[in-house]
Amino acid sequence: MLLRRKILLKPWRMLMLRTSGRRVHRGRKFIFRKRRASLNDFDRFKIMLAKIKRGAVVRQELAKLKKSA
Amino acid sequence: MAPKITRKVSRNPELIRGIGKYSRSQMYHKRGIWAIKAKNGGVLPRHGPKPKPETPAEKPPKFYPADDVKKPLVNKHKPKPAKLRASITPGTVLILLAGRFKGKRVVFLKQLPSGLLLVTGPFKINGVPLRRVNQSYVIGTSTKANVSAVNVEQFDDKYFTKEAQKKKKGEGEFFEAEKEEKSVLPQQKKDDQKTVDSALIKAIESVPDLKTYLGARFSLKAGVKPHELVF
Repeated sequence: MLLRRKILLKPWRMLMLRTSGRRVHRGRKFIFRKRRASLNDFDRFKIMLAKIKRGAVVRQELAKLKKSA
Repeated sequence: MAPKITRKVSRNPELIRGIGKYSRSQMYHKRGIWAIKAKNGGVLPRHGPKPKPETPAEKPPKFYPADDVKKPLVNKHKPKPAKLRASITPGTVLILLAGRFKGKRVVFLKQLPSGLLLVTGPFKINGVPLRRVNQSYVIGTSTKANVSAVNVEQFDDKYFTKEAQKKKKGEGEFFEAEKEEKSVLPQQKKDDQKTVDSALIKAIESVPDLKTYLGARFSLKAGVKPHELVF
């Protein structure tokens, strides 16, 4: 079982890096992980800050919508 | 007189260890010992051993030590100064991996004579004071702060040595056990910390998000392999 999985994994990853893989959720996850690993530590931290900020904005808007409903 | 030939390799190479290619008599002829003998009346000239200066006869001691006295081996080893990693330069942001402040991000200031790295948090930003760290316990990142305004000339390894505490002995020891003296940081060190940090914090604040970055702790998420990351 392990051997088969190992053999399958490599071409799967190659496939995910091509265009068609971008539509699959797991493929996108893989792509993002690769991309983040290539950034440096400071840049990864900035991305985290941006995500936090975005989440805060989204939550605010959602709260407004809930209130008005 | 032909000039003396300084040989790097023996004229009698070894076939197996201890067995040369040429026999003793062959080497006798190769080296021309017969000619030297003929010149010196059939005898090979020899240097007599130097006459030893006569030492006054000492009385042998009556007793000899029963136990073997061990002489320490001569140790002339002098450790070379530790090399600084190429990724660590003054101003580099380092991630501490072990000890009291593991996970913290600090700024490298300089390498001390002992080879340890002098780093500071700065204290106001993340609570890491001026301290020494071994290179083995840090990850060097590619992020750099501007430390040109920071003066660290006065810091050396002696600055960090702790005062030896005198132990009190006596009957009062039992009762004084409850009164543990808290070690108070000397005011001079606090002042030094503020001096260094104030210059450094100005440089840090000029870069967006760098202050927040230094205040945060390093962490890994599930599935992230640190050896695959670029720092």
